[in-house]
Amino acid sequence: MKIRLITVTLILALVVSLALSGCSRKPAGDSKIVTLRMTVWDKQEDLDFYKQAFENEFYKTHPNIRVEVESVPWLRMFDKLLVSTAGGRTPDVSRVSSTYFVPCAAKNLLEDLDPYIKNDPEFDISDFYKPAVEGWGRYQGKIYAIPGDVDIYAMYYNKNIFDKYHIPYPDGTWDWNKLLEVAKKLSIDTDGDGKLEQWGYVPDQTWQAYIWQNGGDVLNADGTKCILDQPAAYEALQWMCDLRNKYHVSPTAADAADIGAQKMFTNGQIGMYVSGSWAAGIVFPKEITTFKYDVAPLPKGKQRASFIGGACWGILKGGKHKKEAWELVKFMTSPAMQRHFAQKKQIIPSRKSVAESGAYLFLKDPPKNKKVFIDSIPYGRPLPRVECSPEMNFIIGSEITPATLGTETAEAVCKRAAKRANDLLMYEQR
Amino acid sequence: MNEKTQDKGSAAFRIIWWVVYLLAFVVAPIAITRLYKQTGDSSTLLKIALPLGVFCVFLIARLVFQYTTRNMTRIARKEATEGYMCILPWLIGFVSFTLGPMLFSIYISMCDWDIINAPRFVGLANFQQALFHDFRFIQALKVTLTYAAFALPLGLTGALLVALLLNQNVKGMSIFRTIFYIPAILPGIATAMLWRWIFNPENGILNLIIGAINPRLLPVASVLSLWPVAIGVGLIVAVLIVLKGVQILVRRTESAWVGVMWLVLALPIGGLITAGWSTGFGLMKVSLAGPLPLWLGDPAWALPAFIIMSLWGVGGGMIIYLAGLQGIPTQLYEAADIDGANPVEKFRKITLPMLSPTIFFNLVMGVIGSFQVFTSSFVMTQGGPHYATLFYLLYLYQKAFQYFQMGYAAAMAWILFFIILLCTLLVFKSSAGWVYYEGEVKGRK
Repeated sequence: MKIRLITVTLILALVVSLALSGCSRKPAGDSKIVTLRMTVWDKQEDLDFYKQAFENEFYKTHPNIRVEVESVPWLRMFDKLLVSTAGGRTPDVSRVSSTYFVPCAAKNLLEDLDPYIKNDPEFDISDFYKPAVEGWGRYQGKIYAIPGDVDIYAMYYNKNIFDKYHIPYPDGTWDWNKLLEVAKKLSIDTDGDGKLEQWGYVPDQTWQAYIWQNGGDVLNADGTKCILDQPAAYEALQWMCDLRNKYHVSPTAADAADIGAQKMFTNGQIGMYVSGSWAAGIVFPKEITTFKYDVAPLPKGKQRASFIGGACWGILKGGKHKKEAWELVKFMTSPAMQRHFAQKKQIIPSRKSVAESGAYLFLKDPPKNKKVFIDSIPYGRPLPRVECSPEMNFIIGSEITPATLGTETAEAVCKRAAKRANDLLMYEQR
Repeated sequence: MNEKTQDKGSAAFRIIWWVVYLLAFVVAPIAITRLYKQTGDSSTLLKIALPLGVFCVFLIARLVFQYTTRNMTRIARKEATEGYMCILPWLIGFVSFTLGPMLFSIYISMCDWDIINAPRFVGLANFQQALFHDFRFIQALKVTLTYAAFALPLGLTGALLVALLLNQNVKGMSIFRTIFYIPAILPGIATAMLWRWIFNPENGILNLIIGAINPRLLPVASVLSLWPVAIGVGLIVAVLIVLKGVQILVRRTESAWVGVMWLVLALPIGGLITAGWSTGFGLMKVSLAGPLPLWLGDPAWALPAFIIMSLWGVGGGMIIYLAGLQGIPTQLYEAADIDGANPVEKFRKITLPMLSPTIFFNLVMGVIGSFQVFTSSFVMTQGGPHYATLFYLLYLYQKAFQYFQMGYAAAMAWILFFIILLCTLLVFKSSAGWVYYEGEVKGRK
């Protein structure tokens, strides 16, 4: 009896261990065809578009490769790549947001692409915009991903509102004073109840841009110290907060809490609205129906600066088919694909040759003045490029909240934010 | 005869078993480490190491079983075996999915680990950083404790009140019970989305109601906050105290000193009440006249919003109270009726004591639950604004799955474990004084 029990248990243990080892076994299949897994953060219609592009173009030139596309929410992309790497089942290729490029590269998730670029005569990295390559392509001297699209912030404006009050449209000559002057004229209590119904300007979330325009920065040049505690930084932030709390040309948190500032702009309640080029591609076409709009450069402070971001295509270190993955990355960043993306979603191509050709500039859909975006790229600046940037962004974002609500001065919150960001940078170097 | 053959057999088996132990615990691990050092290929070796680990766990279990049943008769041992076989599915699950990860997290809490690169042992540095150098940790603790301090008593009394109401004999009571219980079974995310609408400062229902009531309360508050009113109230209290002192001095119900004390204290107490009254209603007037709360958008109002929201979940505690209420024998109330007890007395002398085990249970679950708020803050505020809703578990999640500092997060988890353990122990210790079990004989120990 006892022996029988033991045998039974042993067999059970054997079965369990076999089952466990079976989990990691490759599924049998045709060895000639390589199936690549690619992760993106797109909607179903975009996935259909990928499928079509693969079938019409990629599979014809690369008959031995098939691609499986998986979509992950943008916010979860970084976790997905990390956890799948830890679990030994990484995708082969992934679209990586500029926000998470540096953490991904620093955590050693991405394959060093320098050898691939060197051994591939048909690929020319110099065709890509330098701020894009330096911002979310290169880390510590090596290329870890190829920028796929560029997303730069500029100032959208509601043409109908400007026409109504006979004010000339914004242009490249504007500076902060001019912005404030016009914003005041456009902030109007239309029904006379003592509360504003229309506002001149919304700064959106790009508080960094004002600091750059004022000659300050979030981190010092080598990313070792937070310099928000310097006057150039906190004066700029104070100015941005004053737009809302002192000059009342921008909706307060309570005004915007209901539907959000973006929706207020698309509803026609806002004269000028700062947002990324992505908004013109995927938000405004559906939501702006009642007025005409165009885009102008961000007004300059002491200097010109804008917030630049985007996405890139990288090969995951944990993938097994690196050679085929490189072919896929090349395809996704090819001029033909960039032209498709520009047409479909107004994504600014990361290749100069494509961006400055008619493919993007002469698209029919508004805004008309797309050259503004292209011209802004040279002075675009990415978010701080440090490994702990997700955590640091949370800390700094939380710290400056009281200033945006008007309950504390920008100087006080910036000094505290700088101290806490520096503590974090110190802790990261432990 | 039979016994002897078995002994012989088991002696042979014992030797085989020892060889198996030796192979599993000594030879195989050494071989695997050697192989790893030579090839450096971790994935294939993991395929060998994992089954070996499972097998080793089985061997350990066998040893434990043999040790614990060493003095049993054959039949008892057989019964024990069958018992263990019955709980085996649970046991496997517990060991591999609860105990194993728990032990692993103890080790990880003393490491620096980003789940990609190998853990680096750092001793107690994670605990030190959390307890002494991390302002967000302190903030998370503050937020969680403040929340618990308000939400726990509110929830306990709220659930009890609802349960008392729903314990009445009214037609259609089961419908009301269902309605009050529904929120407790709704998924957390749906609830959070719903409350985000309720707390919307412009169009949310809460601010619509407050906005309608405020203008009516404002004149009342402004009249009450006037100086003459405040002084009048203070004077009335002072006069009452003086009268009380005089009464004691005249009637000699207590010693003369007490009477004198009342007389001396009359003016300071009256003054304090005047000051408190005017500041209290003054503040009320200011807040009534001011803008409506931004709730989740305002660092000062975000946590109160969460506390208000916690009342939404009283249904869970209510159902348990209800069961407790139904379990109170009716003859106790009948006896009290005959003795002429009024409802308040019946509640204090019968309902509360008889319900104390239920209250105790709800208190323990409430303590644990209020330390573990996560979903609502994750969905509604992500810890903001200005860390106002950075609950402990949310911060732990951020550290673990957004910043990938697993070691730090594991250390935080263990700190929380000890905090909850301490609180629960305190509740348990105190329970001897206030929890009454029917049939229990209270006496000197």
